[in-house]
Amino acid sequence: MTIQAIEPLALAAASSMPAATAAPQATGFAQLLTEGVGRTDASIQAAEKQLAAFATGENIPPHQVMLALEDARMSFQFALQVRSKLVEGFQELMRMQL
Amino acid sequence: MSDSIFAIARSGMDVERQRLNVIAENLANAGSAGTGYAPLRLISGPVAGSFAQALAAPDAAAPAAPALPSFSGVRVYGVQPYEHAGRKVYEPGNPSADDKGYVTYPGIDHAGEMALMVQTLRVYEANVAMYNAGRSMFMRALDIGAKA
Repeated sequence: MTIQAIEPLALAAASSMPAATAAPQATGFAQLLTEGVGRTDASIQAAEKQLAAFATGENIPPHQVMLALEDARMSFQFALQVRSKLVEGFQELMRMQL
Repeated sequence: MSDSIFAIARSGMDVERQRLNVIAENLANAGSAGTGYAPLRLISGPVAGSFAQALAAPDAAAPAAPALPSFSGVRVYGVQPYEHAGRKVYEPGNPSADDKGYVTYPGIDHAGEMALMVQTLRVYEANVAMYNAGRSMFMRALDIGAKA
């Protein structure tokens, strides 16, 4: 009687995982972070531009302005959360007994 | 945000605002006698998928996993004058009266315009509520893993 080796669990959802492990990419985490901050900054600046245009009497629907502002807020909140997680991880490391 | 909920809600708001514009135009022209103004209706509909999307879509006969179609909201197709009979009023003194003394006012359906105005406002509000719901979902997602 032959006993078959237990096959490793097939990761069915592997395709939905980030491809960070599949292919060695040049983009590091730091670069990703910088890009994210850049995007947040861009959305805040876009909101500022809309707000200025609206305030100076250009014919912009008010919801466009509010949506731009909310977009900026959500981007910023996301960036804030990423930062908190990073700081949390750092503090956890610093507390480690050596 | 690349989230499609926000883009869809935004497209709804854009379209309803345009619709209100058209209603305002109709009501403002209610007294445009003798100009032959035809009341307008805004025609809107779903954003049709692109040609590339249609090509990439799996064949109906092929047994494939039912993929969700990509939703991209609503868009304005255009404005169209609706069927109307001009309202004729006997005003012989009016400069735009015809030779029998009748003035033709645009046949605007006032009750219909007002009802559509309220409805447009409600749909706009619904889109705002939809946006807020999407935002709440996003903010809740940010709460994942937060310390209590």
